[in-house]
Amino acid sequence: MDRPLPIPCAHDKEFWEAVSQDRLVVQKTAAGHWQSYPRAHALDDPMTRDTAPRFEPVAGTGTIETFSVVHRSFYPAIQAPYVFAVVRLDEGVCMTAHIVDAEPSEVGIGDPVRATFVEIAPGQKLPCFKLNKAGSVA
Amino acid sequence: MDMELLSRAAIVGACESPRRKANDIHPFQIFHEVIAGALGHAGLTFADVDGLCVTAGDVGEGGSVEDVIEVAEYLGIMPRFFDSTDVGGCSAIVQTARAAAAIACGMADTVVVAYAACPRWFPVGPTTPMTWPIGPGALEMPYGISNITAYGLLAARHMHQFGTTPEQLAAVPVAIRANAARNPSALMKDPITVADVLSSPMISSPFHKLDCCVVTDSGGAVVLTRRDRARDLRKTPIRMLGYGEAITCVNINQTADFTVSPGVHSGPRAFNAAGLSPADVDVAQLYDAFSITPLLALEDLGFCKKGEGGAFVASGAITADGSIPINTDGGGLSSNHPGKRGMFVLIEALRQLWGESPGHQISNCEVSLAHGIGGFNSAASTMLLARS
Repeated sequence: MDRPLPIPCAHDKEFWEAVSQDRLVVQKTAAGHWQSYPRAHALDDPMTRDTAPRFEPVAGTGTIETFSVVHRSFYPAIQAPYVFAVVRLDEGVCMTAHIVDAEPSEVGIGDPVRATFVEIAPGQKLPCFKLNKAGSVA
Repeated sequence: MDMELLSRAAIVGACESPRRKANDIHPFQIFHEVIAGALGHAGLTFADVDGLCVTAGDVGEGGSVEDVIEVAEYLGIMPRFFDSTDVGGCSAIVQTARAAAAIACGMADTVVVAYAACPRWFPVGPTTPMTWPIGPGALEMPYGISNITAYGLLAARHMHQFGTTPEQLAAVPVAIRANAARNPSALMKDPITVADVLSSPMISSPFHKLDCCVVTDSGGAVVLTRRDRARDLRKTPIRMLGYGEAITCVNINQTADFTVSPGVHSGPRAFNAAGLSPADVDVAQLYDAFSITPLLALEDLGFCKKGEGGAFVASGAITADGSIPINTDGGGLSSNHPGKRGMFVLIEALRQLWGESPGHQISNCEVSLAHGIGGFNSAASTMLLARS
């Protein structure tokens, strides 16, 4: 199976444009709640059309909520082993992610991480995360 | 839920295909075999059937989008009631509840719920999991998720949060293999130990190969009819004491709590409808695609406290001689799992009440529980059953 590549829509175009520039944005509702993945409506106000959530920049830092080291890849374009994780951003919402630039044995639940942007196909970047160890540089 | 109304319908027959590897057999052939088998088990024929519930559009199932029409056409029947609700692995249990509701309000008299799939060989149809890399799936599919990884995320978090160990997880496939050893149709019958599970290859951590279900080509069917009609048939009619279902999410990044399954919603709905508690259940068939799945079900249905599932399964409670025997036919971990095991979960729950388990028959089984999970921890259905 080929690696699926993200295809932007009207409601998440701004997200993918930001990713292409190595920036992470997350939607915030008029009531101040963060929401992810992007939607055309606010989850906390689903009946009102004039309060569409807006994308706002985030620090891109968070912690590993859970992860699985994939030893048998069903996607030939993604070489095993890889660390498939769900990261909880400091804003509280979760994102699917890979933990990159780390040995799988170094990765633990609760570890702090920060966003990095990986080119998975020519011109196509994907938000991923790397360990944000205390005292480490860059 | 009005269980009195729902009890106008009864389950009167069931059939699980003995097939496990079908080579070049079309799934629709197995649909026919198991429906004929279930009707024969009940003492009914195709002429009695006026309702059909199937899912047949997913991996290896042989059909496409309008799956229930394709299967009806192949069978040569024109049902006046039909349903193709597809919420993954527990769909057959969900459809059985819908079939009972349809019978209770006169939409049909006799309904067949059937499932078949040949994922080992079937050459066409969907192969990608769950969603597309556009819209909601755009932030999930490019990362290469599989069902093994999705459930691995649950197990990893449970281990982190509650100290559940790989050895405790392994107790689940070990107990279930012991039941499979008695089932002539089970794909895997040789006894295994915790050490065998832990030394099998790591697939997606923390799951070793033996933490994961088998992949089979097979099928199954159950038949429901009106309670007044059921009295004259071959088998003791089975009634639903309680039922509950729930859906949550398919994109794993939307999971509210990685240590909780949707059984936390469907279980209480079923027990409340029945006026029963887990202590009343004699035997439980708990969907077991992975070692973590029945462990979460035991917690979320209330057989043990949240976080104590690891110690509970390792205590021997789930073995055939334990306080709550599970997956007495050998489950999906050892016997039969073409993709949507809910049908076999239900069939084994029924066989326990009829005294017909091919694996480990429990003595004096009065209350039987069937609990299915679908998708990536996405859906659950819980059914409590007893003889009428």
